[in-house]
Amino acid sequence: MTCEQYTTLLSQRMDGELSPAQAKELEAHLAVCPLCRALAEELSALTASLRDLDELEAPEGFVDNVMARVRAESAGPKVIPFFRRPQVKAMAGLAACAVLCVGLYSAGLFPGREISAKTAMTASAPAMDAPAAEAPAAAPAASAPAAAAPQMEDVCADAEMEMLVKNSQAADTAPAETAGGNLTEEFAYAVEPSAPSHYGFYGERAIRVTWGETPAAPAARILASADSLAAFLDEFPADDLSEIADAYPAKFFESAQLLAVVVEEPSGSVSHTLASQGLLRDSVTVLRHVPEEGTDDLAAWLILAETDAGFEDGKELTVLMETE
Amino acid sequence: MTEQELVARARAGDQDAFGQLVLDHQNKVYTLAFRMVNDREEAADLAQEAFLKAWQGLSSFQGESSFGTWLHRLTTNVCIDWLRKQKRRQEVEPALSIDDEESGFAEPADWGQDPQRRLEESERKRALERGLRELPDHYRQVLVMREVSGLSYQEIGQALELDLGTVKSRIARARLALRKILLADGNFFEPPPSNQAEEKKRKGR
Repeated sequence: MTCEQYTTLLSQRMDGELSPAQAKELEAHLAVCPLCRALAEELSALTASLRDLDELEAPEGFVDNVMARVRAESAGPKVIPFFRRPQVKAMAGLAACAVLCVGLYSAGLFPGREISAKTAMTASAPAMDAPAAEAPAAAPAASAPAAAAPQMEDVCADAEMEMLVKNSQAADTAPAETAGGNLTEEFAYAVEPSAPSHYGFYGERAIRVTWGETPAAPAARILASADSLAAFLDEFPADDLSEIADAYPAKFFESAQLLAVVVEEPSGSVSHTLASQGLLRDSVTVLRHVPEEGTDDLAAWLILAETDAGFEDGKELTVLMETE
Repeated sequence: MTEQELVARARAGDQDAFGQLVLDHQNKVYTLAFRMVNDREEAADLAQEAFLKAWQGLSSFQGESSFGTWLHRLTTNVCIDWLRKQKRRQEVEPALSIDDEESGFAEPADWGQDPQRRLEESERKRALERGLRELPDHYRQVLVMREVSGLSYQEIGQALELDLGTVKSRIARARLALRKILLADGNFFEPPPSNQAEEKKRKGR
């Protein structure tokens, strides 16, 4: 080994990243090499000074700028769940009317006619992807036959109903200046197809674990109690993960949960991060960062992140992998 | 009011309490961001970003670590995200050179007691600041992550998308490169070792 190679060990020693065998080897070399000894002292002095550098002063007005953003954030529009939006509640009334019309249509006016499809709508389907005309029926009339909606126009000449149908059939045309103009506009916004809501997480970290000594990968699980965490860590028999157990005591789980993701790679050089908007109700997206050149050692990673999304303890999420 | 009380109030939505926390930690956060990205304006933006994230994430801050430690990690993550984006951009565009002349340094705010010593100390620190600025970006980043943020090799590898072997050798090379710059500068490794030993004694007292 050359002196230059020993400098890497020297540097590792300063960071406490040296195996006992390497430490022994380095000591033996330092005992006989005054140059490396001198270097060791210089590098130690350098490290000590780096850790002791003075703080710089934040630019003038820094606090004001931060607080302006905090205020803007706090005053900004809150995301109201779809079915709690006042506009949607108002639409629910119209939807009741629609159901009535359909009822009259099928039962009264054309008694022999059958309703072609009985689409069971559930309140949890937020109508984002569904044909817009069905949206208003969703809230109050969870299992009403709503498929006949397009025919309603003939029967229900009520002005409000007309607006509803117009609006729902052509969400991207400009809202008409009707009595409910504002309502129309807001509603059009509400039914606009948008990305499904995601949950926040933070404190993401990745720990390399022993390949083949993990739960089946890829896997993602919600851990919402210290017991679940302990049981989960038992599934990594080859790794000492006591530090993790210590980092998330029972107190932590009083108001937060852990998202634990296990992934495997053919190369230890591939690293992972959780996609910033990737945590959804049933899935989590993991971004793979693949370097151009890498080692070909099998690798497994445990990725942990904290969330307060309120999942059920032990819930399994689908892992979606995306390569960058 | 203690920091814990401020944090508790801020968590409950008290903006004034949070403002006080920003005031208390602004220099630390800004300094870390500057050391990571070596650009004053960018550092100010990233530091703001970090505080905004802290405000948004206060509800998930459990108090297992101090607020300062938590904030430090948040800031490191914000900077790492930025560096990643920067790296991707640099892969497309030709490498950006950071204009060193623009990023001057504030005088150290805290002057020591002994005039002779404070002069030496501040001279060495300034030399080190200069050295850090001269250090190529990829060296400075790993060194700051290791020495200032205290990240493990593993964490640095993950953050910068490097394998462990590269992290080890890059940190070692970064230290050697900084040492070389400082030897050439002449103000850091002065005074000679005998005085350094004396200084150690002084610190030990």
